[in-house]
Amino acid sequence: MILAFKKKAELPLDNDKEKRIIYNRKYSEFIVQIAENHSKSAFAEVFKEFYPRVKSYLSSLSVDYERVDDIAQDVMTTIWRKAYQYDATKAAPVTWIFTIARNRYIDVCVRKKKHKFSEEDAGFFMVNLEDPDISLARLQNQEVVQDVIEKLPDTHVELVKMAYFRDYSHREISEKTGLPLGTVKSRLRVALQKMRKLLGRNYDF
Amino acid sequence: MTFDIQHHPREDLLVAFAAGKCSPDMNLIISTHLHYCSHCADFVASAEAIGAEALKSDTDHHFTAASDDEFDAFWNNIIEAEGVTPEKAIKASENLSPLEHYMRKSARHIKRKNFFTFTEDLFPTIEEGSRVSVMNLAAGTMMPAHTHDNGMEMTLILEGGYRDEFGTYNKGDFVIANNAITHSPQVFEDEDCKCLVVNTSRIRLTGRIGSLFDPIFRLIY
Repeated sequence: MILAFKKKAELPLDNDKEKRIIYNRKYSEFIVQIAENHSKSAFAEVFKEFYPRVKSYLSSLSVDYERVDDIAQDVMTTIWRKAYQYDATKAAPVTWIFTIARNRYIDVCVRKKKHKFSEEDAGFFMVNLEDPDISLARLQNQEVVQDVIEKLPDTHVELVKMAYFRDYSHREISEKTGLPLGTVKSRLRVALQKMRKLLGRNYDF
Repeated sequence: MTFDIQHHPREDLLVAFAAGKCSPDMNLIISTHLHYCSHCADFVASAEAIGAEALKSDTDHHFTAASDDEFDAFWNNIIEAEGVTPEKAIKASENLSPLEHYMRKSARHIKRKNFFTFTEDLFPTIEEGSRVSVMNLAAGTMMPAHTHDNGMEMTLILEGGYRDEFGTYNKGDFVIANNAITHSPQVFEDEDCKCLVVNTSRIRLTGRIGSLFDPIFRLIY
């Protein structure tokens, strides 16, 4: 299977962007080899690269220390089982892996709350976005999303990452970046609005 | 979907959804909005791409690859031991919204309730103080004036629509009301209205007559 990535031919690729494209291509190819050839060696490459990162991500979300390894291994097992679902035109490989880790994190939070329902029933309280029969509207593809992220200033991406995906409080972000607390709040809002606007160019509103 | 959606979840709610920070009830209503709204679906995809940045190295996080030994242990103890194999691609036979999928799975747990002016399919929930239902209101129905104490009412319109003092809402629209909103929704005259409602607030009937009925309403709703 040939993965075709359209290059923006006019502009020369800068070093970071080129590294990222090569990295994405490399791991996309490994995931495809898992799906098509059941390749253990391709899976080993994916495991070695992402297992430590997924563990670190889960720890930063305050998943119980004893459970981090289990859940991270569950993420790796899901990559092995569901490699066929990966679509390079929809997301970069690391984004796909992130969504699997995120979904397992949701599972953990839900199972903590099961109250009077059994362990099996806990499953039906969750929307399983990985189910192939569920469809979400999607007008554009991975290129548009990458384009938006590239056009967003690095400081904005960092702020959103810290606030939502690394779980830093606004106060912690203020201390780390030296920005006043009020600026952290308002800049976060600006970052999200800019994301919305950048996407808006592709739609007829 | 090609119809025109005017009301969307706010950006911070969509990023929280992308980060897995929303409750299961909120995941249900937001993801069902995403089934209809490609703009918000792409916004969530962008947020997920930022989330993926959390799996990359930065000033505070430096990663070294796992060792071959670690992989071998994982492979032997889990993949081999449990006989896990890569699954085959399944041709999606359906185009379900998350809500439709959820209703099928939990059909046996859904309770149908009848009120004077509407019927409701009430879903079980694991969230304390949260009420999840699909409401069916006949064309032209006027809901009594009410406000929303101590929480939020999230509505996603599935069919038809309604208007209230604050706007007009159609299929695909996602609307939030809190204790600042007192309204009397009126369903469009020419079409029945069906909507998914996730309510963490306590509905309180307002107005002179409404407040008289509120205690009774509280008992039956």
